[in-house]
Amino acid sequence: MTAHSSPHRKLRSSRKGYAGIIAAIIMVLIILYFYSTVAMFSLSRDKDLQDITARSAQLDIDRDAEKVAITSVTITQGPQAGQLTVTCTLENSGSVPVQLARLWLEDKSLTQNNIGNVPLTSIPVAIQPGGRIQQTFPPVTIQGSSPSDAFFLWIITFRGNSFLR
Amino acid sequence: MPRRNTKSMLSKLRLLFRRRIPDFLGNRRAVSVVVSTVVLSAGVLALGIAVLYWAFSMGNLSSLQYSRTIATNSYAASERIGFEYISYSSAGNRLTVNIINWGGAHNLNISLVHITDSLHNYVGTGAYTPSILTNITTGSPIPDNDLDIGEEGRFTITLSDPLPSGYYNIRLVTGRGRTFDSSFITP
Repeated sequence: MTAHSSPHRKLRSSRKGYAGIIAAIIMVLIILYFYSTVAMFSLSRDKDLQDITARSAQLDIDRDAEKVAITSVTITQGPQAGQLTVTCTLENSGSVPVQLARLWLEDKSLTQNNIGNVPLTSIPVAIQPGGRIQQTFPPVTIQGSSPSDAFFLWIITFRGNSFLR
Repeated sequence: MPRRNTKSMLSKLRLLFRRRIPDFLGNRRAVSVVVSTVVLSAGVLALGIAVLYWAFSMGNLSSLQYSRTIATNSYAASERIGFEYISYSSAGNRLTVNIINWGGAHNLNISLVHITDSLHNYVGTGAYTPSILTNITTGSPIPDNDLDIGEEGRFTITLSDPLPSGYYNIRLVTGRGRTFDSSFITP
């Protein structure tokens, strides 16, 4: 019994290896602390990226949901020579509100310099889903153009879509 | 009697100091150990501080670079371009492209334009540097040569050779590395 307990007691009373164990524990704790800091930083950044990706996907979904029909177009002489006044009936058949950014007009009867456009930022043109509006746009300038010419018209929305007539 | 005792004690102490202190000072055996310990401690401390500062600055630097990379990727992911109108003029082989930034990132700029034919063979040099962005309505240059969210702009590229009639693809490469494709027909 005494022969058996003596080494055990010696081992328990010996304090030689404690410093190494404590140092190892502290070292592991320090490494864990640094690792967790880096991991948390990385995770928070990844979450930001995920948010951006989700928002971008929503942008694409909204863009795909945009549908505008140009049901009728009337082109008349504008206030000055070479200016044309365009009146359109627009119908939003999509599921999201639409705001127009620019109106483009091409005179098919002219062979060159036959493109005109007008920005729609000063006079915002917005259509609710299911809405139908008749809109007279600011004059479009195409030199040498006449209201009796053949025209090709398209509108650009702020979601980058273009709708033709 | 007590005074005599005190005197003898003091004399003994003096004698002791006279003998021991010079002995202690004259003994150089332990000095090297002390000096080496001091030097070693100072060295370890200096090295430790240097490593700490280096690790701190490297950590800051990598954190900054990582943040910048993620921010650039985030902005690039939310970049979107809509093509409004593309026209080609055989006089001067000029291609004019009207675009709108409909994405969620400001400061969108075009760094390169690739033109390919219907079989996706590069036209001319293939990659062209666009002109500065101009306002579609007024034609005046856009400040900073970039488009903010919802902003429209126009740029031109001058092709090396005239484009024969046909169908062509155009690819815009933004400053953040995103690409946007469209197509056009030359008369």
